[in-house]
Amino acid sequence: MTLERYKETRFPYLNRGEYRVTSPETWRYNCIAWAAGDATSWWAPTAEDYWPAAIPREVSVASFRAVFAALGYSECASPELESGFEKVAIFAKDDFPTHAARQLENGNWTSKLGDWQDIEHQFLAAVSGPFMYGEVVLLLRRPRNPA
Amino acid sequence: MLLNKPGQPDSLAQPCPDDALAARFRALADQWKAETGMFSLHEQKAQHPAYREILAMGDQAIPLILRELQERPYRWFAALRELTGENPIPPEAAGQFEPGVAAWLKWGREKEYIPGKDDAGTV
Repeated sequence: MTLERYKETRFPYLNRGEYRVTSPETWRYNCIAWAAGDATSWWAPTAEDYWPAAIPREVSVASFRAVFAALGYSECASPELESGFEKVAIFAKDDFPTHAARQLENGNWTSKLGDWQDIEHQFLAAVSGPFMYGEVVLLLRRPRNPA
Repeated sequence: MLLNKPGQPDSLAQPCPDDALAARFRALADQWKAETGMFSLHEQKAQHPAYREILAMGDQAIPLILRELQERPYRWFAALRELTGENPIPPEAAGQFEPGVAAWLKWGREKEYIPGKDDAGTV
């Protein structure tokens, strides 16, 4: 299944690789929550949203880095699949974080598109672009199934 | 504008938004949701002109949003906070959709922006 046409047109690079819709549309959780493995809450530094305690409530790449560091992630250089590691990619425009995607065990990526559906996409570039989420500015990884 | 039914005390008066304003609000709400639905952060959604126009309605937008929240629940929480200066969502419910909707509807009833359950004829 693919996105509705009006949504697809928002992502000019979506069809450079394979992608498929993997959930219904919902605004119960967002991309940051989904990348962190939570499908029950909307994660954002806004007052009414969930944000991990002790992380500054500010919209910055540093704040997003701190959120995932608290979940056991550390920076890495490559988006390539590494056995035994789970990766997260943070997208931003300038220093404004816009999106997070999580790598699946098959090497593809899973993204929750705001209020819209989750998709599984082959390449990170599928959701990039100057009018969308910008570019990947930070890659993080942690061991799968951390002790 | 307030509309009282005959014999209804002032304390039960309910806001009755102008139909044209309500229609304009609904159109802006639909446009805003459709054109910013891909964003996760309120700061991005809030840049949209339709959202700015809704906020420019000021206090008149509050009952419209609360009624929208009843009829077509959506994440209007930040807009309501910006309009009212309040955030009735308890910290333990932050980020959760249904508790957020419930908290704002309770707030709206307490402030008489929307009918209370008894006023609506339900228990």
